[in-house]
Amino acid sequence: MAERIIEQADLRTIENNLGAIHGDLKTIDSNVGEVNHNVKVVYDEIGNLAKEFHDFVSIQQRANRLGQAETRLVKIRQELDKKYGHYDVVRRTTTGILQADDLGIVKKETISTATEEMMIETPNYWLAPCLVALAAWINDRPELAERALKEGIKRNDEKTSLFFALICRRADRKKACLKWTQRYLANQDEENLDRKCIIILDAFASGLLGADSEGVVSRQMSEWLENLSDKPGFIEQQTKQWSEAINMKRKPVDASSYTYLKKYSQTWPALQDILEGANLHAEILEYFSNIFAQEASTATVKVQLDEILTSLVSDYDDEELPLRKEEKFEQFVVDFGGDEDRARQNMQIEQTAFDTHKDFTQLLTDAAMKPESSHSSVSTQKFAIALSRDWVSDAYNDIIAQNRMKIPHEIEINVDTFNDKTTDGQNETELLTKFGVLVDAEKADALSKCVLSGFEKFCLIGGAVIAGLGAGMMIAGSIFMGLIAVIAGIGMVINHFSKKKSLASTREEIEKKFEDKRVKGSEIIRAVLAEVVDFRSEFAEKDGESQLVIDFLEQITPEQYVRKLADSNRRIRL
Amino acid sequence: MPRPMLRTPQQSQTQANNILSAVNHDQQQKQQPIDKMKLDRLLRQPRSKAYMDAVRQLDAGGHVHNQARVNEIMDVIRSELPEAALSGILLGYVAVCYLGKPYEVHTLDVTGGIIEHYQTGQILPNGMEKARSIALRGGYEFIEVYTDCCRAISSNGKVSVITC
Repeated sequence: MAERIIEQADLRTIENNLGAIHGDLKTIDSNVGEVNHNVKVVYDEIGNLAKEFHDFVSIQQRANRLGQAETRLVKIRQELDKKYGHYDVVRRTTTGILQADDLGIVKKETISTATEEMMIETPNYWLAPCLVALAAWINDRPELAERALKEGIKRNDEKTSLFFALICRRADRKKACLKWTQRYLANQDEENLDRKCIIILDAFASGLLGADSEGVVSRQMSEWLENLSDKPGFIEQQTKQWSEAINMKRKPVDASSYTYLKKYSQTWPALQDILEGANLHAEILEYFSNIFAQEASTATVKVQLDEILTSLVSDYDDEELPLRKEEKFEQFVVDFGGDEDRARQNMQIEQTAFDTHKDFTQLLTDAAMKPESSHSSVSTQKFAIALSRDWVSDAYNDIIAQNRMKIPHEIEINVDTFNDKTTDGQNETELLTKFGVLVDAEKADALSKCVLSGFEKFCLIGGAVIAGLGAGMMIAGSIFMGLIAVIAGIGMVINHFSKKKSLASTREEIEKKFEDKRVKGSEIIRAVLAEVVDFRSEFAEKDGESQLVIDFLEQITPEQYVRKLADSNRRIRL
Repeated sequence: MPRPMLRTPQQSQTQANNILSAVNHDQQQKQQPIDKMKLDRLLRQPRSKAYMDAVRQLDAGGHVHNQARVNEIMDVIRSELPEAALSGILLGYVAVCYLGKPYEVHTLDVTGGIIEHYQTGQILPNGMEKARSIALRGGYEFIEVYTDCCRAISSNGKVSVITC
């Protein structure tokens, strides 16, 4: 009854209404999509507006900062001029006097008058008495020069010493130059040497500062080394530093001569590593020999020395520095259109470029092993290696021993399932016998699995019996059953012989496979052993070259490489 | 019976306490690495000829049963190396054995004052196995084995340090 009612109901109206609702929903969906799109557009617009606003704020801030920086610059410069303007006059006068003296076109009296006035006008500035001393020296007035020098040293010993060391070098007064250099170096902290000091040492090593026949500078360096050596852990640090620097010269080894070892020995990575370590000896010997074979050029160092003198007489004094830094920063702000971040970054870069400080021994290591980055001359390289000879030698001996410690006494041979060892590749017969035994055992094992099953064996006799019985049954009259038994029996016999034949062929294959393995495996073992012999011999040869490096280092003496020191009887004691 | 080669740990402790009785525990701890560095520096010094000769005699044969000779060698070692090196950190010596096959290396265990010869495949006792390979193949006269490192001694007495 119920089924009939449903059949009769007219659902078309409901269907039409549902269709209409679906259509409406589609319209709403497309409208929502449009609204969504519009909202996106609004967001983008707002985003752009916000960006423009931020840009505007940033531009405004920068413009404000630029204006502020310009005002500050004026103020700072006024303050600098007020406080240290007279320093600038001294600096200009010094440069002028140096140039005038070089050219010889100004009267000595004029120089004297100019400098004495400077002295009165610039109390506390170290350069003023130096200028007086310089003028007195030019005018040949030793007493005045001495008094002025005393005052200069009192005001700034380090700068005065450097100034006169450089002046004496220009005037070719090498003995005095060395004494001033020693005085300058004595004012340095051996754990914190600046760039200037590094150049001075470079100049000393190149012989530009004269022959250290009395060992004044050498003594200073010995003193530094003694002080540093007394520090706990210093020598250990030195050895480590040199080890690292030397190990940096390691190069990947060419493994093309050891293809079998690479493929058939798990010891290969260790062998590769020690061969790389042994190859280092030739590298280092060549590196050191090259350095000592090179002729040193002093042209660059001379230019650098003059640069130091120029900067010494034209750079700002320590007390001016805070204001000068401020001035520099504000100048950067102006240069970058009010961008404080960029100004700060540049300030940082500028500072680190000149703020290179090193301890004396780091300076020696860098000069010897990283000449490109440390910009050291060949003379300094020679001098650095010579002065650090004992540490280099210790580090080198350790490197050799560490590499030798890794020499595997036994080298593994891994050919397929065969894993054994050799020490020098001399046990070929023993290994081949072992390999033969292994192959035999594996073959026997494989063959032992290749036999007829019990059923297959039974098939021969069982089949014959069944066939016989079948024949009997046929004779007895039961022809059909007898025929079936005869066929089954013959089938079993055929199965037996077919399995037997297949087994024979499989066994033949196994024999062939293992014979193949024996031949190829033996060839590989022989090849690996031959490479082991070659490897041991190559390693011994390369490792033996380490003695050449040690001998090379032994014959180096520090004083040998400070030019014109040949006559000196003094030695730098390390 | 061989006389004791070293002070017993208890005696060393007593001595340490006496020396350091004036300093507090923290200072003792700070002092340790410095002392270790001093010791390392001392042990970096080239070995004397007498010492080299004494250690070379380890392989002369017969000492296995001649304790008096071993004691003589130990006396030379004791006079060469600082006491601190001997008290616990020096384990012994390993060198190539020239007795011929099957012997490969021989050792001197400083704690027991015993010389032993080892065949191929026999593991060296008391942490000395780590020096076997370098003793065999390094070309050094002998290897001093310490708790934290090995010192390979060349025939001219030069010392190379291998941390291990």
